[in-house]
Amino acid sequence: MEAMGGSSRGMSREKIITNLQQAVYILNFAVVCLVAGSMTFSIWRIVDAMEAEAFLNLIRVRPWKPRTIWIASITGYLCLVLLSCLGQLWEHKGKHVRFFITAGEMFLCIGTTVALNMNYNGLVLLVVADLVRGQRGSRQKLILGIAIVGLYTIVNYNLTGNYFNMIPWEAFLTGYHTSTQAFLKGTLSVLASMNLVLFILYMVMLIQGEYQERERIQNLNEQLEEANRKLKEYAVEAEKNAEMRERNRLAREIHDTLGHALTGIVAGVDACLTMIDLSPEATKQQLEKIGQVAREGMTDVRRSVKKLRPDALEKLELEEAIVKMLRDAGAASRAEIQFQNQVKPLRFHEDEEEVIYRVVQEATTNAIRHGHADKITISISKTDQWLTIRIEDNGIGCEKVEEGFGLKHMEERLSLLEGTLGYGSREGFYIIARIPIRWGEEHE
Amino acid sequence: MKEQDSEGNGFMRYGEKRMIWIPAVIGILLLSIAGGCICYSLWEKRQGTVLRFGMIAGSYWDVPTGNCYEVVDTAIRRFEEKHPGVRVEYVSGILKEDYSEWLAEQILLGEEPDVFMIPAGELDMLASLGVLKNLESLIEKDKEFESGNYYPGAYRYGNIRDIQYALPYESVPTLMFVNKTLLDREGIDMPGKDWTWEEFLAVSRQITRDADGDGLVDQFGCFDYGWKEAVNSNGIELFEKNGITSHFADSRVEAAIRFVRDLNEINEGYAVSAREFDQGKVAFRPFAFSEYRTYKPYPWRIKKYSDFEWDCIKLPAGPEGTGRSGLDTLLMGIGSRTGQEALAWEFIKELCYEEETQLHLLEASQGMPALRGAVESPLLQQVLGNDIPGNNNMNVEVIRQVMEEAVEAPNFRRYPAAMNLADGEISRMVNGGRSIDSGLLKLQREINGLLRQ
Repeated sequence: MEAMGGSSRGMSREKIITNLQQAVYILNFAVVCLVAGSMTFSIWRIVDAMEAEAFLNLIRVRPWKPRTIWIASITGYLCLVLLSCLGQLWEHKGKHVRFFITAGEMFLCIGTTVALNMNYNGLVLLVVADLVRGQRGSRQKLILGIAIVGLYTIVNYNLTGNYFNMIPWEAFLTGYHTSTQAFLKGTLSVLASMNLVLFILYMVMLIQGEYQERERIQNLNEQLEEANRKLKEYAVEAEKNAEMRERNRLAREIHDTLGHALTGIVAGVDACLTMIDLSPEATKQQLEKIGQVAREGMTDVRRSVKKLRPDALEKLELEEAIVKMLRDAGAASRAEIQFQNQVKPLRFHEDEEEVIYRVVQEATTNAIRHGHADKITISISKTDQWLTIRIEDNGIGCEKVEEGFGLKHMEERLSLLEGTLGYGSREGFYIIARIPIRWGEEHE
Repeated sequence: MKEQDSEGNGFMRYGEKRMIWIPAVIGILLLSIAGGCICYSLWEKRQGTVLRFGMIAGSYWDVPTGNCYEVVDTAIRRFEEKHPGVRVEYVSGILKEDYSEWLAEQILLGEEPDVFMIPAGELDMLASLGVLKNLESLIEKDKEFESGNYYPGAYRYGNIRDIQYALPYESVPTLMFVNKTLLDREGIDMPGKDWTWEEFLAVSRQITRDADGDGLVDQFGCFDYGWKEAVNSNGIELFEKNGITSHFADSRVEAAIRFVRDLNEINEGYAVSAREFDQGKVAFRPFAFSEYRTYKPYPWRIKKYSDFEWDCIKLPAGPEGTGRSGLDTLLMGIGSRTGQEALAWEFIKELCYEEETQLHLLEASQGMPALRGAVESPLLQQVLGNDIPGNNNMNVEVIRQVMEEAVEAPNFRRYPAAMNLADGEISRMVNGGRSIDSGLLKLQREINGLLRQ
């Protein structure tokens, strides 16, 4: 809703700027016509009144032909406006186009002002407005500043008119009656002031627009940050919830399976203790039942544990699960991961499979996250009853192994299976895990 | 980020729709202006090659004249024969007093002629306005052209700040008019070629007296001889060529002013007028060569100075000078906006450098050709001799010497103002109202100040 409001405000502002610009174009056209026209007509009047000699004695340089003054001023000005419009239309056509248009505008501005004998310097404002609108970055601001000062200096009659041998407007005005002179001077000064007012308005609108745009972006940024923060909170909460749910499930599971079985076993053992002297035969039967309950309990426990295993391992074979996991990791990080398995089929006990899966997963994650590797090689091989997993990468390696890399965790997992873990830096980082597999033992 | 972009483009499209009509309208306007300009230049081209010439009708030297177009018309005919397809046009009938205004109007309208006469004293103004073409490069390129063929004073007059902007067409030096009848009556010989201030003063003293015995002085030594003539003939130039330094405090200026004061004192305060001169009561008067040429021959000699015999000689020399006179020169220049630089140069040379034209001037005009070759031709003797039948005419050598030595008036812009100021101050000194040496120092300071403004 807020963004919509900002946008519609922007539209109307843009419209005002466009209107202001057109007003500036038309106003300056009027001024150029007034100044050039008064100069041209003045010459004709002076000739008609036979005051040419006196006029020549008054000035320091011969004026252009009356027709030339008129044509050059109007043509120069029209070209300037044309370039100014093209500059707006081609705003996004790149640096070079903008540079040429700006240079052209400056040239035409100076040219037209000289054609007007520097008797009107308001055209600079038009060019300055275009410069300000097109400027980007702080270095350009510096260039812009220099350009504005330079332009203003060049076209200022009081500063440079003397060196350029320009004819002051007052000299031309001598061709008119005093009241006409006053009227022309007044009109020019009003028009010039209006031009200045329009320019200031234009600049205010432009700067205001820029300010509003910046404010809007800042606003959006703040909103984004807020959303991010909330998202993080949700994530933490969700994790907590999941953990809680898992704990509850475990508690229930333990209660339902182990608790149930142990209760039965405890009760059965108590019965056996009472019965053993009276009827060893009955006790024997009783113990068999207890054994049955214990076995059933164990099955239940196994089923529960199975539910805690990683998804991929639960659904897929170990090799497929590893390949899938590596593919996902590779796709996410754009690292090239090679997996060489020399042990076929890759089927072990569940606890062994899980440790293998976890070791590969952890090592790969480390290589990508900490080593910034883009090439990782994983190989699994066997020697006697030892299964060896080698994970090598071409990342930055590390001089000193820090905590939190998950190595400790891996070591713990491996030690449960009486395995070992070795690692170090050598053109990247490498990890070697060795696990004594219970080969030939039956597994489910 | 993406969203913002699309929004920006949305603005753009909105702006585009509104802005597109302005370039379209301007494009059409510009095209029509270009079309107009092309049509005009095509029309102009069809007019053929025309060289425009600006000239003064009547005499430039303020004396009655016959056909003032004769020399120019002949030169134009010759030029057009040499350059087939080229036409030279001029506006006839613009008198000297209207010419400056006419030229200024043409300049303002951007229609000044390709080659034109430069009104007296306006060279600096026209040059600094950029109206006149700098001739240096044309002179340098032209192997035939030799500036040494002109009399130095005449040629220098077309030079401003070491740049030649104009060529001399004809010149008029100042001579000394002598009333021979008066001198004869007093038993005084005609002064010689190298006469001096001393002689001038002595003759004047001798002549100034009451001839008819009515108790009033009615015969005078000289009329109209001022401090400017004295300064020129005492070998000093009042101004540096750059036009910002003057030499009024020089001892030669002081001597000239003292001399003029002595000369005036002879008249004991009586102001001699032109009427007395015309009545033949004055022995000497500085006289322009053009007047000599006009009033010496028939028919004008009957109208003026018919009661006495007269002739012209060199001005008397000061103690440190040669008696050189001032030189007035009519200049011609090329407009800087001419489209036919080469043709204009050829034409200005046809008028100012071609001996045939310059010789024609000897016959048909009242001035002196600026070209030495024309003055030194036997024609001069013939022309001057024809003018004055039966008289011991003026020594041709004298006029050549005068031309050679004559010095041009400075042509910088502030010269008239400076001379105005000097005139007032110096006439006060001459009349004894002010001390000469300290007055001149002060005057020099004032004039230098004026020149530097």
